[in-house]
Amino acid sequence: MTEQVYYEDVAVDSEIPPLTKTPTTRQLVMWAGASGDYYAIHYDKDFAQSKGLPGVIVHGQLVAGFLGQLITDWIGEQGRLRKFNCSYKGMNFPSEDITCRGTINQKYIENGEHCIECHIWAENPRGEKTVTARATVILPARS
Amino acid sequence: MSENAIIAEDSKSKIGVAQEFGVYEIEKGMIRSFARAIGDPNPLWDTEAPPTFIVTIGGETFGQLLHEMFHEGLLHGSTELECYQPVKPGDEITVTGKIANIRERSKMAFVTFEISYTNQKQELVARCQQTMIGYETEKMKND
Repeated sequence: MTEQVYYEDVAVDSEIPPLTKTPTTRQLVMWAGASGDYYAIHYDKDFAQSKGLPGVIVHGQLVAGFLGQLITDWIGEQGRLRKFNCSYKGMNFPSEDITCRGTINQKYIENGEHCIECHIWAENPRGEKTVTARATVILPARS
Repeated sequence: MSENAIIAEDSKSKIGVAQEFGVYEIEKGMIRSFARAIGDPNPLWDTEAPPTFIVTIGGETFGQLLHEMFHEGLLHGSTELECYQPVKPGDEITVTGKIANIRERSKMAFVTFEISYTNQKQELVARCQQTMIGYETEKMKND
């Protein structure tokens, strides 16, 4: 596991270490089973096309899960994700890279909690932001 | 409401009416399946659930509700999650949901659901707003 990050270590405008995922259709099926989301646009190409889509698309919430991992990998065992607001703006297709990135927007202490606000997003190989999110995390402090 | 029936006609009468999706006992295997579906090897998930796991609790019931409500195309608009404490194996989570808001414009319907997650000690562990977008399938095909 990576070393614990502390509130004092985090600078505004710095970047969160990126995370790249390449979900296969097999992974989409695993996600369907784990999440209970069996909507067929995520595994049946004919059905997806009958709904006006170019083909099978990746579940938005799976991408949100990737963004969750981006955060939890970074904040470590003692960090907590408090707020996570994400918008699904574009489509991700199976077997394409999804790169999750983030930057630190703000840091402040509220009710004794050391809060960091960040902008995070998922990009497809064409550089389009398909899912954008704002996250608030609580970090431990050194002092 | 418009006559094209992107969403079921009785939907608006259900705004604000709370519905219990169910009570779910959180097992280690559920958390493991979730982490594997994301491809997240963090050893922390042996003892607690990743923060984004919570939105999948009651997911099958929510999916069934969406299936009955949305008659044409359906895409995910946004997820707004607030986490108050981590979910652990052995927790019993009661999931309650309601339609908070329905907005219709240009042959699309935006439906926002408010879902709350309470544990066996009657403590609120998380709250989530999910916005789903219904669209006219033919319109999407022609665009």
